[in-house]
Amino acid sequence: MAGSEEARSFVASHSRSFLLTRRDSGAPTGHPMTLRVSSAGDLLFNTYRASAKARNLIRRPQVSCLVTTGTDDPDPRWVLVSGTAEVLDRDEGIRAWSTSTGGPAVAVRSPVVGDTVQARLADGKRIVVRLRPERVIGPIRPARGS
Amino acid sequence: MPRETIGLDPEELSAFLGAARWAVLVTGGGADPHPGGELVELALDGDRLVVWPSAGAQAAIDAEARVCVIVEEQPDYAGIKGALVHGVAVRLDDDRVAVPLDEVVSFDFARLRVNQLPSAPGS
Repeated sequence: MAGSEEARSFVASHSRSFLLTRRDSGAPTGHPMTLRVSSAGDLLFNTYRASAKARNLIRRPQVSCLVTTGTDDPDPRWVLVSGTAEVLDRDEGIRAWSTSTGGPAVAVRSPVVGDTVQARLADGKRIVVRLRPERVIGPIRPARGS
Repeated sequence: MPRETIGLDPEELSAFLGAARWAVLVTGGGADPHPGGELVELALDGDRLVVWPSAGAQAAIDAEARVCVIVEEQPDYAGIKGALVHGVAVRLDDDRVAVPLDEVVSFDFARLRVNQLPSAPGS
């Protein structure tokens, strides 16, 4: 993955992220996501095939991902990864997701959610999206304005 | 099956945004086709959000004023709560930017049926 060793380590150890895409109008938007990382250092997400974020990234695959300690962290940090998104076919997606790694995630810790995601990936209602990093910025501590 | 309604009501939304200190600012201006994003300090000011963007984000806003501001908290799965605000940013006299609360989508996972069960995830 592009970026410094510190950035790679940050991305590998934090699962809270926001996938940044563009709406049909071209306006920017964001989607809270649970992030996983492939063995090759690509960023992986899963989402419903019919979701707005899936439509957005298929229409315009140039996306970014902001990986963060959280907007509810009193001393937050973040990394911005930009690249090209690709929807994996079902079998490749299941394989990539099952072998991926990542930081602690609230959603992934829930067995109910995990089982549902696996079932929806298997029936094709959910897809796995791979983001190949082309540019990485951070980690950064945001400036305090007030 | 109809989709569940899990949004915050206006009072809850105001309390949630008013208590938040940090947000994700998403921008789309400039020659780079990739959306930009950064964490920014945030304040609720009546019917608008005020944020402190970096110089780079200010330049992106000058090129394309449409932005998205996201606030989210994740104490546990059932406690996931958030708001996405889409709007046209207005540069203020200083380095701050205001985004009106005209288009807001919010979510509160405590309202999900699965989280109202005795064995709810994260409970």
